[in-house]
Amino acid sequence: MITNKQKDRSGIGIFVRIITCIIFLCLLVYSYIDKQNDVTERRLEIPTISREIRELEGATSKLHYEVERFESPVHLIELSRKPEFGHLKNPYLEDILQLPEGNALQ
Amino acid sequence: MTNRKNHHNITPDNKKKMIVVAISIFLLFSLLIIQFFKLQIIDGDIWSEKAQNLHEIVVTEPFQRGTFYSNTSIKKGHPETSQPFVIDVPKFHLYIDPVAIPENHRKDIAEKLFSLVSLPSSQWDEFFRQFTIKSRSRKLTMWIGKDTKENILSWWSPLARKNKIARNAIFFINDYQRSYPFGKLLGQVLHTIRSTKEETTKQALPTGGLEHYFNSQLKGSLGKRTIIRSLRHPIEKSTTIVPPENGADIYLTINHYLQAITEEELAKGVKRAQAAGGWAVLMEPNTGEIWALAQYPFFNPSNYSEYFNDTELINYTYVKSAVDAYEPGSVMKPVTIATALLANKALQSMGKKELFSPDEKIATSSGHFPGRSRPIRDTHLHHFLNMNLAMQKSSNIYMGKLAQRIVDTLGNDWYRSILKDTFALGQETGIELPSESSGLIPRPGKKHPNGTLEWSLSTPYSLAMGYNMQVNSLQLARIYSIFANGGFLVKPTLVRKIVKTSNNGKEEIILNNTTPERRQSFPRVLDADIVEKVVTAMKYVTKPGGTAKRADISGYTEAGKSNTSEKIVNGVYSKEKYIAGFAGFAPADKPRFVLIVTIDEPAHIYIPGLGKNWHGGHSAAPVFQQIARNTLEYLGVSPDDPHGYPTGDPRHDSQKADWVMETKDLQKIYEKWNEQPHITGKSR
Repeated sequence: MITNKQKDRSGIGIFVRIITCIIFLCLLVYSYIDKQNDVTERRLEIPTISREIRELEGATSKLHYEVERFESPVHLIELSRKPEFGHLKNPYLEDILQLPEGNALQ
Repeated sequence: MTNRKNHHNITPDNKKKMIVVAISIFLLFSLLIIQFFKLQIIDGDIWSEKAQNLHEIVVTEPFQRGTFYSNTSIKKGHPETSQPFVIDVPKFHLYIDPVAIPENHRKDIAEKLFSLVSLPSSQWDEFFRQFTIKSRSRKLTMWIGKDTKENILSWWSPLARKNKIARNAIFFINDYQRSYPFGKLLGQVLHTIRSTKEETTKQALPTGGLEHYFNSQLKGSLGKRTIIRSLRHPIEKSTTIVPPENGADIYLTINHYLQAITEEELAKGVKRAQAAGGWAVLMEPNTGEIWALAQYPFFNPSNYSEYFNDTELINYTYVKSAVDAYEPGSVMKPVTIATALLANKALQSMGKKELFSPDEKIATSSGHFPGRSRPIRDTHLHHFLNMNLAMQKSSNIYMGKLAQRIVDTLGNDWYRSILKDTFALGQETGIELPSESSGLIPRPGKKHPNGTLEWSLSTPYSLAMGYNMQVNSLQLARIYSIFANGGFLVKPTLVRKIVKTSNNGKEEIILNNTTPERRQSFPRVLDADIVEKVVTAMKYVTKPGGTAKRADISGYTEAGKSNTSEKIVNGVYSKEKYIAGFAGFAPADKPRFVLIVTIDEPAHIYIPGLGKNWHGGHSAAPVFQQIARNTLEYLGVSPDDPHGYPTGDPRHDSQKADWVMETKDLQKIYEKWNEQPHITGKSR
């Protein structure tokens, strides 16, 4: 025989379980929405970051160009004729000692 | 009870009405479901595409055109860092939307923009005209830098806000400008791309040279990706429809430093000779790799439009060493000698008497040959010469005599077949440049358009001294490589490798010219003993008594031959316009390179103390000497003639210098045969 007291207790139990489930579901939904917001925020940043990367790549290309222009062989030949670089010369092949990488580190 | 009461109150009429209403509702719902089915299932794709288009936009992803790299592997013991000849630098094109600019502000805006982009005042009218055209997009100027763009924006943004003008009435288009860090270096070979691209494909339009030849490898393809539309921010969806594909990179055989050396010395030589121009080819004789391909006057690819809009300057844009074929003259004499030595072998194999002996004393005082109305002449009269003397003095008559013996014993066809098959004359080298000339050798039995025979009775004598044929400088480099590499016919090339890098960084080699198999595929066309004899003869040319002493490289050995060819002007040989040249290699025993120098139309003047300026030995030989010396030093090649320096130099020792004793012995023979006490050596 189930008494009224027992009935009340089981009703409260079901209620607690339902509430727990709802709270848990809400937490999951909240976490999911939060994650989505986070992803959206990141996505919003992509074009800006892409633009910055493109600008940096552009600046790198420009600097690369400037460096190469300074180190152009015509300019290097001109520099080599200056008295301050007069002591520099192209080494003969037999004066160059080439060590294999492994040996050089030993 | 009440419900039951109500139920009983429904009259048949009401019941009918209810059925009608229920059926109507059912039908309406059915229609709704049918429409829903049509929209979602039948036309679903169309509507979802439309919806997608409302929310997403497709943007194109730019690609990078392939670039050219220098050959940094030839200098041993040095790091092989990538050295680009071309760099794509980001730039901007300035546009306006004239409709969005109010008329009362036009002039002020135009004037300010004009000053900011620093255009010459002559362009003002055209510049301002763009503001008056009813269009939503007019290009004002191209290739402005980032700094200029920022200057424009910092002026324009507040002005547009203040005067309530649409901010995008001035806008910029991003683009990559093909930029040349070494300026004019290798200009004719590289060429460039036009400043405007092809409208639909956005592909570059090459102007010539390697850019044109390798356009299909260099060009990439645009990528496509989607972005979600948003009022304030575009949202990256990361959906790539088609990834961009970059063009392949081309690793050239040209070394930037050797190219600079060659261009510098060539320019000096052309100016010194007061010539119309000049070109030079520096080639590795075993692989056919071209290390330098110089031409003066230069062509600066950055200013290509200036050259293409001028009928004279446009001539500077062609690679003359490939495009221009000319009568080579005396540089073909080593070929004549090699052909005669080949004839010796051919006759030997037939059990017949040899054509000639290199030491044979051949009479060279008379230049009368069958079929020639005028005798062949040498610059100086030589009574008797042998093979080495004939090469040293550049005797036309001696070469004519050899040709006469060749055609008398083996025939015209045999002679032609040697020129065509052994020395590949009249055949393109296959160099990776547009419009290469194949040159020309006459064909027996064939006629010119004017009805005269291509190969007449006198043709072999002309061929023997390098006339009646046309050769480009690359073909000449290929021929001299045969003498430099011991007898192999190489294939000249400008490309070591073509490498395509995919988006994930994986490299794919499309073409590889560095394999040992390629080198092994070159056929042997001359035996080593013939090569040795020809090279020995060529070594006398730069020594005392030779025609090109100015080609003697201090401290190193060399072998070569000069030429002074009359140019054909209005159908006749000119006595004022010449092509002067020097073809040779160094060091003589283990050649590192073959070098062909050609000076076009040196001034027809006599320079006291130097001689006839238009002769190859005077105008081209010093250029050869300078380029060769600088190249050998750059390569780190030790002097193989450490006492072979000019008199007065502390290193000079006439007893130990290379080839001095041999030259003295040859001089004795010359004096004995020609009864001349002094070395003259002033022939061509």
